Formats: sequence, structure tokens, C-alpha cells
Amino acid sequence: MEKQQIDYSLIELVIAQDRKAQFQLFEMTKRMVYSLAFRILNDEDTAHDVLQDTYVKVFQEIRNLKHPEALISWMKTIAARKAVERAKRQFEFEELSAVDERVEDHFEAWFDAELLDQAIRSLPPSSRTVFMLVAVEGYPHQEAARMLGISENTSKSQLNYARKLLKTRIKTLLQA
Amino acid sequence: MKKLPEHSPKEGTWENILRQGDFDLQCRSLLGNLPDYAPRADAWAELEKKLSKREKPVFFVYWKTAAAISLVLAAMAWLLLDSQKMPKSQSTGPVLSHGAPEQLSVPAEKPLERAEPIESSSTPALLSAEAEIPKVNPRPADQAEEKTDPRPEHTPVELPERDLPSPSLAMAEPTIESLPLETRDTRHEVRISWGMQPEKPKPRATFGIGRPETTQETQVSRLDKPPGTIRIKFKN
Repeated sequence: MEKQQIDYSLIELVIAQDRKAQFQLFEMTKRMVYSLAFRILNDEDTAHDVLQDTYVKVFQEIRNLKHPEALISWMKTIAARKAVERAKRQFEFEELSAVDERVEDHFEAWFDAELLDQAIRSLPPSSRTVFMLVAVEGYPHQEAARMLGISENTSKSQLNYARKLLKTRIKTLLQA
Repeated sequence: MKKLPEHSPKEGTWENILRQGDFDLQCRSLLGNLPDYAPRADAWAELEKKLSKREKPVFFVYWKTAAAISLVLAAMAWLLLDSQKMPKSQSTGPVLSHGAPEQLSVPAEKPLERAEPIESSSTPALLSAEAEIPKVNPRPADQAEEKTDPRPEHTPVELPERDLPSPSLAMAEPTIESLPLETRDTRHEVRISWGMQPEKPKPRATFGIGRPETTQETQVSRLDKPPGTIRIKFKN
């Protein structure tokens, strides 16, 4: 949605450090950036810090952006990296040696986006971060593992663990 | 509506509905529509503060750099001026050169001529010959010095030449041999050893078996004698 509204003239103005254009870009993309940071960190204050750091970097580095059409994904990458930097200070990843792979294939329940969001936020920080990067933002395991400073296998095991937990949490939320 | 014919859905529709209830499928469809969260209302104000703070240091950095460069330049200029002044002050003194000895100027001899009469003015024999010395017209520079010098005027006096012993640069012979040595017969013999004990018996290295006397002596000597002590033995 934002991709269609952001035109090249606005990007040029932002590159020229025009404050009004910067505010316009901020208003158009702030929810996207803040939601990503908030889901990874699950903390409002830290997510606000990430939001500000992200926009400061965006406004400083936008002149180096070679493909203006990739502005949104570039901003998302900056926000994810900033959030992961903060998240890495809060927790440490553990190698999940024996994740129970017997995930129930038959999931007879219907849930909506709000319930899924609630379940995602209830995940442990490490598995939540991996789920957000891989399942939501679409990063491959290799890149997510590099961002988080973990091995690829750890990323995969954390994702499986997150999926299993999500199923149980959603069932619990539906029963409540 | 009642007259319209009824149509049955395709086979497997129920299975498709159940399959859509699969967790992964539901997730895929819902992850793109997750609810958005809005930041605080003052987020832009805080961001604007940060941006303005980040813009200011660029000016301050340049300003500080310019100030530092100007300080360095001023210091260099001061040092250069100071170094230019230094040779002028040193030019009054003798200039050392590596040329021939005959080319060297010896300006230090003139003050000696004036210094000698001052030292010898206290001798009574020279004071009597003061009247025979002709007066010399002072130089303009000396006149200026005389005006400022409140001390009494001293006229140069010629002194009789004295034969001073010229010091020889040859090395003086050692005079220790010429000193008379007093040799007295004593019954005592003094030996001074600086930590050296030539007569000390060495302990045997036969796995701890040694003469008990020797070992004891060694231990006692080690205990008694700290390093750097002088040990004097008197022998009758």
C-alpha cells in the first residue's frame, strides 16, 4: 500500500533533507516500522527507540539507496536489524537439542489475525524473533541466523519450536 | 427462488475446507494481515530533536577543526618568529666555524685586558705607578657605559709580568710509590674476603650423605653471612 503512494519525487525530497518530506515518509511508514519492532521486542519503549534509530539511519543513508523502488523493504531490513540488535542484549539463544517434532497435523480450529498476533507476542523472545524474521518477514534461515548470530540449525529448531508453541497457545486462547 | 434448480458442490469440497483449517495455511493467509501498532504521538517530535541534534555536530565539528588548525598555525608562526629572533641574540657572541685556526676571531681577549687592572688595583705597588700611565680617550660606547655606571672610575694599569708556572699537559706520574710505607712486624695476619671463601669445603653430592661437620659449617656460614658483608679472619 505504502509502496504505491511513495513516489520518486518524495524520495528525492527526502534525499535533499527536506523536513516536510521526511515527515510525510514517516507518517506513511511509521506503523509498519513500529509494528515490526514491537513484535520482535514486545516492549513499547524499546520499540520506540528502534523506530527513531531506524528513521535516523533512513534519512542519513537514503542518498546511498540505489533502487528507490526497494525503499520499503530496505526500511524493514533496517528496522529488523535494529530490533535484533536490541533483542540480542535482552536474551541469549539456546540450542534446542530435542524439540518435540510430533506436531499435531490435524488442527481443527479457526483463528483470526488478532488471535495469531496475541499468540506471537506470547512466544519466548528467541523463538519469537526467529518466527518474525523467517515466517513473517520472509528472511531465509541463513540470513536470519547471520543477523542473530546463531547457526542455521538453531534458527530452524527455534522456528519449529515457535510453531508448536503457537498451536498450543492458539488452542488455549480459543478455549478461554 | 424455490423454482430455481439446486446444484451440488464438487466432490472434495469439505476436504478442501478442512485443509484450509490447517494451521500453516491459516498462518500464511493471516501473517500478511496482522494488526498494525501505532507509535506514540510525540514520536515525530522526538525524532525531529534527534535529527536536529545530529545536524548540529557537523557544524561544530568543522568549527572545532578550524579552531584547532588556527591554533596550530599560530603556534607554528610563534615558533618560527622565535627561532628568527634567536640568531640575532646569539650574533654578539663568538661564531664557531670549522675553518682554519688563524681565521678564527678571538673577541674574548679584550675583556681580559680590562679585567686584569681591576684585579690588580688593590695592590699598593701598582697604585703608586698610576700617575705614569697616560690617559686613554674612551670610546663612545664606553662613555655611555660610564654615564650609567655609578662605580668609581678605574684606569687600566700595566702590570709587571710574572712568571707563572705553565701547567704541563703530560700525565703526572703516580706518587703512591714515592710514599714511604711503614712496615711493622705484627703477629696478626688480616685477610679480607669480599664474599669469597676459597677454603670453604664443598658438600658431597652423595644423595645427602656427607660429613656432618662440613654441612653444619656450611649452614652456619650461610646463616651468619648475608651477601655483601666483609669477613675478616685473624690468624695468630
